[in-house]
Amino acid sequence: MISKKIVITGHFGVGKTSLFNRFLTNTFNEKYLTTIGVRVDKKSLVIDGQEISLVIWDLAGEVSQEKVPRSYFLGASAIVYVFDLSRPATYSRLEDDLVYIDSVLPNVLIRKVGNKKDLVSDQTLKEIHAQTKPFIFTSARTGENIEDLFEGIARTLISPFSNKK
Amino acid sequence: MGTAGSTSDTVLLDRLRDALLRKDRESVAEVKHIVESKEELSKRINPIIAAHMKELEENFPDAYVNVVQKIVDQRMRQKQDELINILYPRLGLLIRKYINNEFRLIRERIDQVRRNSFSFLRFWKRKTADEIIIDLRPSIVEEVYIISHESGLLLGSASSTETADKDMIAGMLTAIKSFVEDAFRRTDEELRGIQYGGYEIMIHNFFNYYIALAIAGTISEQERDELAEKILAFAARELNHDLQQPEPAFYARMQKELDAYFIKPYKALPQ
Repeated sequence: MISKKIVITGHFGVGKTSLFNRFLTNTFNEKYLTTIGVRVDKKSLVIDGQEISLVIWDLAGEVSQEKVPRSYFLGASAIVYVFDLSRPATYSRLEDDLVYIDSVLPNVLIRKVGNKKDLVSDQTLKEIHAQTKPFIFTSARTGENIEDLFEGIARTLISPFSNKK
Repeated sequence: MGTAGSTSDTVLLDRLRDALLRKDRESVAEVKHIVESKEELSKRINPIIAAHMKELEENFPDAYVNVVQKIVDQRMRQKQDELINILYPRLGLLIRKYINNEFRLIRERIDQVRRNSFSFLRFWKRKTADEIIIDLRPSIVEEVYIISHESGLLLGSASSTETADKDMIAGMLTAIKSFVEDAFRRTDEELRGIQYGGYEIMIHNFFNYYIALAIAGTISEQERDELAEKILAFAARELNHDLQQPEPAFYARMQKELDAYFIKPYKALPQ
């Protein structure tokens, strides 16, 4: 079985841990508990008959990615950069953050994820899509697109000729 | 006529007033002098204050002990955590000092007995006090992990006990290690161990991976050195190739090798 490290990162309060919990245990908690440091857990998936173990690091939120210990990113096969669709401040620095992550881990698979889809209107989604070009919009509360996000990442990781960008 | 009469009345009245109030006026003047003179006032008030102070000093415990006790109790309840935080490290240090001292005394006594004994066995097999103590409570390697430095992904593991998910342990251990190394900005140094209670995680760092041993029990310096040598020997024999993309068979082989090398020898020991 292949093991791959995936890092979930982003501004604080964007729903990284909720995304993590929804994917791992299919649960959602309305209460906001800030993550201290990092939480590590794993989930195994079978993609086209091949088993892959995703070891997921849920990092504590930071206003800027430069504040995250560099070593947390090292060895990651994919980065899930989460932002909150209802708080523009969480994606205002998105491009700077991605440039920084790319400097730490050149050519790593990065997925920009707009979370809390359930809190914004379709019109707002369109506007944010034009502005941020995300990979996917998710809702940890409803579970929408969470499985698709991680399955998509797993599929890309086991396929050696996949397009990472 | 009327005016002359009234003048003489006023004079008479003044004389009468002087005669009647003379003593009172003298007393008022004396009191005024005392009140206005600090020295005179102190002379009179100080003995009274001293007497009250003495009385308070003598009777305070009886009169106020309950009130004070109540206030102290209330404050202590309110500041319980603060008190514990203050006392805990000091108690810990005292206990540690006491235990270390007791161990030193035991070692000295054992060494003394050993020196004084005339048994022929002492010439046959000499054991130091340290070895005897370690014999009484042997350390046991319960788990061993080979973990990638950067990713924290598990490259191999073996265990004599049922623990939490090993991939998760490897990840969290790496996160803790990264945090410590990053937080103190000592890029040229690495975390070599974690201790909690009677348990120790011994970490041996290599270039792109590290080996972590979870050890239960007391470990002596000599034992630590022996384990370090064992880890080096194992790494030289089994991990002398690129570990970035190990073959699937590698994980199964590592588990077998780690178990045989680190775990099984301890299973044979009396528990």
